[in-house]
Amino acid sequence: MPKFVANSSTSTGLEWQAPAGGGKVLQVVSAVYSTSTGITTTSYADTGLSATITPTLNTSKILVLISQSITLSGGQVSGGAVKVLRGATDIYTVAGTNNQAFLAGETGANSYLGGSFAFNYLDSPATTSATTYKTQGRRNASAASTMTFNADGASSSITLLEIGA
Amino acid sequence: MQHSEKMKAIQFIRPNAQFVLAGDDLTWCDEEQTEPTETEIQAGWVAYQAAQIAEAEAKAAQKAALLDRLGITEEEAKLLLA
Repeated sequence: MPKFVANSSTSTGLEWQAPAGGGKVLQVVSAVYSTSTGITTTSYADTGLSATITPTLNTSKILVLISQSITLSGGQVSGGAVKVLRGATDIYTVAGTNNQAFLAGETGANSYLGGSFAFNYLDSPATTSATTYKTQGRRNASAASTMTFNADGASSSITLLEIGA
Repeated sequence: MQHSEKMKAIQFIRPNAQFVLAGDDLTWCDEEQTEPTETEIQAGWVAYQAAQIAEAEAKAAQKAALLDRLGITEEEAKLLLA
């Protein structure tokens, strides 16, 4: 709610307080990736989903909104994990008891499980340089399974919102 | 060849291999097994399909042999299990 504040330089000695800049969306960047990408590695590999934003202020926060299509298949007991990175830095990892599995289950040799999964994260990159956000995935070391991103024509998306501090 | 078919073909000829297949772009990460050629992958898909057919036929033969031993038809077996 706007309010008056003292200002001796004005004729009345009062002025409307300037609205706060915090919380405003300053910029939006989004990308969609639909290339089918199968990962059978036990170390993290790029899923192909990424977007780059150049913050206008180094005090801004970046709200990262990700919708990722993931299918897990192939092993009797399957498992895999996904993480979100800013550049080469992990900013969002999912740790679990099953070898840090994000997804785990019994899929059998010719069946699969999966769907579209959301990752939301509020980041403080403290920079005005171009900054890339991306996801990586891997399968569990103990399960001979496959993580497929964007299988059968599905797509994934990433949206970056610069929020004024 | 579709992406899912290529994945199955590679995993059939190189079991448990570590790789990334982005569209048609194959990145080989396995240090124990060699990267297959495109020709090997194509042949692998044919072999995979043949193996699937053979597996289905073997299951059907086992089922027929069991029904024969029991002296009942498939419909009668379904009625017994219903």
